[in-house]
Amino acid sequence: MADNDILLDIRGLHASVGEKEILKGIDLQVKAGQVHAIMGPNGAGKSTLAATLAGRDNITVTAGSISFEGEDLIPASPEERSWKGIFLGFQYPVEIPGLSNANFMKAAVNEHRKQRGLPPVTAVEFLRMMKEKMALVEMDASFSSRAVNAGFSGGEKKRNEVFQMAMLDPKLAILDESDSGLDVDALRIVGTGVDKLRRSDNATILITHYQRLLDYIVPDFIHVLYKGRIVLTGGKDLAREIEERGYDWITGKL
Amino acid sequence: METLELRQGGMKLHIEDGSAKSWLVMQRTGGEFPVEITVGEDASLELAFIVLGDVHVSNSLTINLTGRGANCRLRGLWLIGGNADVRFDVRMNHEVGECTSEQIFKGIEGGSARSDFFGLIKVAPDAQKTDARQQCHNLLLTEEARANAKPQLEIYADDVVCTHGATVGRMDDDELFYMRSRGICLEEAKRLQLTVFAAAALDIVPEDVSAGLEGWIEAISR
Repeated sequence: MADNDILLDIRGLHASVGEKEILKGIDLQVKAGQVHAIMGPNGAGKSTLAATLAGRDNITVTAGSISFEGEDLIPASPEERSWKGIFLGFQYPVEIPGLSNANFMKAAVNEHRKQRGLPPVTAVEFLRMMKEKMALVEMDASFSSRAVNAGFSGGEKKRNEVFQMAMLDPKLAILDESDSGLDVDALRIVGTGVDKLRRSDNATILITHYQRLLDYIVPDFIHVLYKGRIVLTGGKDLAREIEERGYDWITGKL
Repeated sequence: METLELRQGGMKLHIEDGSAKSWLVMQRTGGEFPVEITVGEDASLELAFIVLGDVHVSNSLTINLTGRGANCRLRGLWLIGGNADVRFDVRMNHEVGECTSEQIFKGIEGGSARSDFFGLIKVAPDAQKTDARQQCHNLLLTEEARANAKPQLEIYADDVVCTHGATVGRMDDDELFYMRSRGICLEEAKRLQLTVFAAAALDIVPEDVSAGLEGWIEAISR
């Protein structure tokens, strides 16, 4: 693949939360069409990496670079990153009582359209989009009028993240533990939903503890993050090895 | 819903047995407004206050539920900035049994504005089967803004449902980041959050009135 297929290019990234340095030199290149899984023990920095890419303002990049489609991403606000085509699936999706899923998504879709010089989506087209994407994650009709994540079960919240991803059609989706807290049915819905959104012109970074999500979405690469660095990169079989042997055999060698 | 103009000298109103009134009080200029309303048997009162801008307003509101089956829905919303000083002093008197009252107050304070809410629910000794609820929630937009909310219950009957809740908070950063991560720009995210926050106090207000508040919400969210 040519270098111009590189969507995301992270080099020597160091980032801190408050005084504490969490990311200590991350290098990662993600090309269009690829799925990367990032695994690692608790506290390795996985969620911090995801939040850094989405532009969370309590994280400070202290060294290194992040470029997206060849442009420096670091100065961009969270909304600008979304407009560029970056999507973060939250580990803990936020509840917004009083705001319906439909109104939330209409505001988001219309902002995306505005950035591309398009008029607001028509009511008919929006309904069609909602229906199609709700079907992808098996949400029933009541979903669109319910408040965003308010009173949702763990599984519903994660399905809602995949639904929002489908609505916004990002170039790069970073899914932060989209499999945590799911029963087998919800895991299947989330896993197959994300897999169906896979195309040759988009890419996904899956952050996960477990191999089970990777049964549905087979990654091209698996990276093990430990103490703020990627310490091992392998193919899809690495996940099974981690599942069987834990992380000690990797971290023990360091 | 009819518009009710309050008078500075105070006013007394009565809702007759079996009848219903629905009043909207819009306050864009200051003053002191004592109001006393009695609600008769099986009568119902809807009363909504909307206070806007940089005003000094003091509302003392006494509602006496004097007949069985009387029902009151009371709402208040203030969207205030500058040096506004808004005070609500509410007394909800359940004098007889089987009456219901529901109060929802929401305040959004910007600039150096302050608000004080005192809300007393008093249930008389024989007022059994009373259902009285009160909420007052505030959102402070600046370091300088202030809000006080003091709910108080005086209950002399034993077979009643009385609830109250009061909060003073700030914009929710997690919500804002969540919305921004979906491409909703910061200003729009703030506007949405304030609109949603205010909505619970506007449920009895006609849609054209609540729609008319969008400009105020937009102005205050900047």
